[in-house]
Amino acid sequence: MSGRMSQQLVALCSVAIGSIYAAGYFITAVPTNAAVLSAPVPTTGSTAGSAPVAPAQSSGQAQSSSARTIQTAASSSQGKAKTPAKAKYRDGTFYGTGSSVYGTVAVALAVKQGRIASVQITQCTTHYPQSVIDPVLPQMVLSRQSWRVDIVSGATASTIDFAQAVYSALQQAKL
Amino acid sequence: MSHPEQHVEMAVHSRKQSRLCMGTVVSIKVVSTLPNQRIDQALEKSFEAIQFVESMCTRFSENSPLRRLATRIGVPVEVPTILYEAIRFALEVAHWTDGAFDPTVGHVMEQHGFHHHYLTGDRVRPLTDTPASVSYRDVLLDEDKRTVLLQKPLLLDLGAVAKGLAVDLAAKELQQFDGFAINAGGDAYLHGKNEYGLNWNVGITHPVHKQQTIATLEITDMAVCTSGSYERISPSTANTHHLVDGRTGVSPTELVSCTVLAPYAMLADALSTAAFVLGKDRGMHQLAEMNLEGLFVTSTLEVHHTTQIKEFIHERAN
Repeated sequence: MSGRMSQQLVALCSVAIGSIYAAGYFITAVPTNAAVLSAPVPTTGSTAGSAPVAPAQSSGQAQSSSARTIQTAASSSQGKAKTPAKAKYRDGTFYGTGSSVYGTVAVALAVKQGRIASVQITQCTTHYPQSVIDPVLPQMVLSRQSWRVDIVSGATASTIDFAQAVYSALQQAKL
Repeated sequence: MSHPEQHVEMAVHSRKQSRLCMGTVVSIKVVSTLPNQRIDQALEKSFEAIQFVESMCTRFSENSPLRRLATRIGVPVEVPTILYEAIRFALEVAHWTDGAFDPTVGHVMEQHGFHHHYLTGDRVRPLTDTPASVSYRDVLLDEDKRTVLLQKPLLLDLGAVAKGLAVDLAAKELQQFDGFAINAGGDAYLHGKNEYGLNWNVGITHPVHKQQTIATLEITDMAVCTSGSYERISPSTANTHHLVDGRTGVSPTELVSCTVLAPYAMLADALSTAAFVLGKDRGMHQLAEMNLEGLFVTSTLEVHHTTQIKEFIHERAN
């Protein structure tokens, strides 16, 4: 009894992971439209869409983004056809704030030609000085074209506040 | 890169990255002799896998496939592979635990105020249908067509499966390395050795003194998941947290923390949730039946564990 139950569930895990892996992460992801808030799709989509516009990104992050674009193109013909043409954000400057018990981060985010062109931290009242997250996080937003940034070690709350601020600015910019 | 024989092996070193995913901070550490570039590429793929699971299985985005499924009651719906597999596994565990673990508690969770996107605080639109009494038996799968049929208005909550699944998929992307540790807020998977050539130490958070650990496990090639009632408290309902008995809709209180070791994080996560709901004695019995190891902390801070887990306990408070 005991052996059978756990063996069956372990086998099921292994089958599930195998078949998900085989199906690929991108094929099913892309057809859901850009409105999926917390999906990785916006990152991929906007990179795919904007790569031709600004091919000369310089940072190391840009490399990994374009590598991902290639992968998307290779593994998902359906999604590829849908996403690139449409810009996801309207041009203009948008403002957002993010708060936690440690303080508030506010940003001004500029969109040009449907693409995040700049992110400026306009307020930072967290315990740590602004230099802990600036310019590292704004640069990451630019290179990834997404609010999904890496956590700055030791400054988790500031990072989350910042991501929240960028997210809410992007929400207003959304088409 | 194309001439592996010319490849210069570096000394063992480690790289760590943390990102915001699934409502928590996910950290991945890789130990390897391979160049950083290789590690970073794999890390990128791991995080992509995690974000992908989140986008498919989240209850907190209006347009996630999971949420859209809840708007189509009474018809078989074709869903993405990943969602199908997560639902199938959740139903299987529900069956084995006789409904103590039940993924159809989504609407109960919403009623308790768990309906905010973690980053934005945006509230998702509640579903219009008033949910009748539902259970996992109201969800039917068609293995051939790979469709999901919700027989009654209900919202699935895959919280106890999806996070584990995300960790397992991330782990698959990292198999090439000597060692790695993935920690996704209570769901962890450890492989190989750490940068000192030793097994990994995993601390279990003390339910009251959260900066401390109540026990430390020394393990490798295994998942460890802890379900704790101290983590997420209902903003609206008294004495309620994010772990809910599928049969009653109520949060059990006998245990405050429940840790399970298993070969897969998806299994460890589902079982730690199930054991939490079952309580000390029945939870222990369940783990014994499944040949899995676990460690429970009761509301009076007593520690109970399966006998074999002693081999893994590296250190224990008090």
